Amino acid sequence: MPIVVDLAVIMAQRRVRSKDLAAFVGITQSNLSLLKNGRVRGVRFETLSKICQRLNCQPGDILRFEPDAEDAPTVNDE
Amino acid sequence: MTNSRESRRIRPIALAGAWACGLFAVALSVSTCAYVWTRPFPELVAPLGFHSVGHAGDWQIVGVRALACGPTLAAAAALLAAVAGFRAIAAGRYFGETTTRSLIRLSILCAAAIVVSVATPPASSILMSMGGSEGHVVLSVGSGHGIALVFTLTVYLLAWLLREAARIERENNEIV
Repeated sequence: MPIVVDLAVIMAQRRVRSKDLAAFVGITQSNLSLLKNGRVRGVRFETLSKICQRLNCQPGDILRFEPDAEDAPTVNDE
Repeated sequence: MTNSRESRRIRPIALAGAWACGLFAVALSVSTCAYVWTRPFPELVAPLGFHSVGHAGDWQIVGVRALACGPTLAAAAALLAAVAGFRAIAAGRYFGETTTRSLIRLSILCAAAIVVSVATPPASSILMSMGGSEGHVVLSVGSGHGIALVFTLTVYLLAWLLREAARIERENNEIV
């Protein structure tokens, strides 16, 4: 999956604990842990907006696209 | 697993269903087999047109008695398949694999019980005729069989829907 979740980094920068963030967002700590490790199929907008609200960040700070080696373009467009 | 008011209400009903199906399956099997194996053989084959059974070999007697137990044993197996489903529902695993598998087995075994109940009399007649005696082949299909098959098909479709719901729930659980 070329979507990388940087939630753990942002949480560390903001010094927010998993327990507090999970309680604020309204999800379980285990689900938050799965999200931090990128082991989820998707994120609800509702969850994302709550996380951004608590961490005072943008969705782009948490999620970024990193193509796999095989997905990377091999021919340069001129 | 949920703990809503509805789930608390359905739990004792599902448990009662599981017990009822289990007990009924055992009682049905034992009583039917006891009846079939203790009943005088001439009475058992008289409805098939065999009034003289002196020529019948032991293998024919055993075969006809075993065939006569078939429909009931298939129905009992269907009831036992339902037990697992009721227990899973009582445990709150509504969309679990056990529930769907139980419903699918229930529908298939119900269909098997219907088919076996239709096929048993002619099969018994053929078995008896192998000794050279004359009887008649009885093939009886009524509206009851048709309705039961439609009911079975409905249960099978519900099981398929439940399996789809289980898949959707699994996917939903992976979205936080």
